[in-house]
Amino acid sequence: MKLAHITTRAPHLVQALEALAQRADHEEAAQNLLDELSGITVLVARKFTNDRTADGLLEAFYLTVGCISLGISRADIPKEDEARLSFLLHHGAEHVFQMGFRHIKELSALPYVTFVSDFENDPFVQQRNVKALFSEICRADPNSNWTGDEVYKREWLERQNNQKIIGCAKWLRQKHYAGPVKDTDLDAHAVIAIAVIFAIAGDAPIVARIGQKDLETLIQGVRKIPLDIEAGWNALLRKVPPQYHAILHERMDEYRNTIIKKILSKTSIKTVIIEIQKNYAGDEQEVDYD
Amino acid sequence: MSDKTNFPAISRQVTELVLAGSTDHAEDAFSETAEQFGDLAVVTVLDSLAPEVASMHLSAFDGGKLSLATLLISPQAWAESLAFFAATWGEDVIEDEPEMLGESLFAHIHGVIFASDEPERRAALIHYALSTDWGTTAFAVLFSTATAEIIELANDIYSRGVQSSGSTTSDHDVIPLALEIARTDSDAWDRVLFELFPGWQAGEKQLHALSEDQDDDVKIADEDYAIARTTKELLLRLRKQVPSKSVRTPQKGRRPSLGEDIFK
Repeated sequence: MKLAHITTRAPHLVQALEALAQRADHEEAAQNLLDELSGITVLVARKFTNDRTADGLLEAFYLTVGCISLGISRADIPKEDEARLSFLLHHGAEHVFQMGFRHIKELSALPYVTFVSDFENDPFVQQRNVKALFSEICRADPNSNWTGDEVYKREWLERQNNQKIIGCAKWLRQKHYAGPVKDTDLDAHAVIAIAVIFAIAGDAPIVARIGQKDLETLIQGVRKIPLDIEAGWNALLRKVPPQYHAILHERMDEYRNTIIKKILSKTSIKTVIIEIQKNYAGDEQEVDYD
Repeated sequence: MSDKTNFPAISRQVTELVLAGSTDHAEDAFSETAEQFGDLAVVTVLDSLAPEVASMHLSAFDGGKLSLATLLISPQAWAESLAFFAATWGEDVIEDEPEMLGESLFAHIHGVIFASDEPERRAALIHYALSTDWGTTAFAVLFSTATAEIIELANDIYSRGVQSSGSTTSDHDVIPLALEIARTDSDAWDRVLFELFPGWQAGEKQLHALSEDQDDDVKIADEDYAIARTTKELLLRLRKQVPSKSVRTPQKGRRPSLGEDIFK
């Protein structure tokens, strides 16, 4: 029987401090760190938790431990306690905290979902997002395990991917056959779905936003004549910059045997349209029928 | 014993005892030190304590309880430690029980200054304490508990000079202390008065105590009189002057603190 592989580690800051305890002459460095760490804790409490209650200060203490640990974990240094300690002592706890906090801010600037709305430009909302991420990733109890660095890596990759999808959707919108779509809200998944579905009709201008009538025309049109779907898709791919190809390929593979099959089958047009409207075109549809 | 010893072991022991809340044991350590090395050794140890630790220790021995520390602490060290006296006051307590805080502060200051009979020591204690902002505020707190009497005394001193004044109509506890200040250090006396009556100009505005049932007078009073700060206001001022770690100047060889910039 294979046992599950579990890695358990204390927060990086704690590991660095354990390395400090091993050093022979650590009195002064320890005192310095103590002062810096308590100073940071007070600042964190003042800004995020509450510096007037014991609970607020304890929470700020956990956040401080985590944020410094994140700063250490993202640094380009050997994965050894001694290296972490040298890094911490060299830069000072405040700077390492700052690094950690900047990582959080960078992460928070990336899209959490593939849906863009005006709401996100609000400074209050941005502040709230930073705070939410900060307390989600940087909360580290020194006496137990911390996986914030893993969470950070995962979130980072996921959000990078979202960023790409949004980039792709924005590009498609720019090339919309009826002129660029100008709408502050963007449902990136839907934009890509529409473009991919409409591309089956052959080498035609890119479609990024639709009304119900467009769908009717498309389905009626593609059912009349025999169709080379792949040729249409290749035509789309030729127009789109290469960095977005992976996203489109993924989508094409997903649709080839699902919705595209349905479009070409004998299912009633009404059923197919409802399915596309519900599951694919999302928020990128005109409400008016004309 | 050479002059250069400064008893680091005893200082550390006392600091640990005080921080652990065991001021009685710390006091025992002082007596032992005095027996073994003499009173000067105790002074040295007290000087080498961090001011917040000294303050913690002294505040445990106000009023009735006698302590070697209150007797022997150097005026400079005492002035420093005064800054931390208000560290444990919460804003709620200041709001709810200003009298209690005022009394404990009075007991402490009175205890230290009148612990010894030497006039030079008293003068030095007053001088050093009142050359700091927090010390001035602390004394103003005491005076604010007897504003009317202080006004009477101040007017008396202003018209007749310090040496011939002193008999007031009241026997409030603060008066002897106020007289002591006025007699030993007239600059310090002015500073405390100014802290208590921020609008005070000698000879031009009359000092005035604000009482609660005189709301209508306020307008007139504002122009013609210097209004006294209340005990509560002064306690808050004192509390705000407690130094915190973040504002203290960084020690030599350390990097300067980033402060709020750590979030940038």
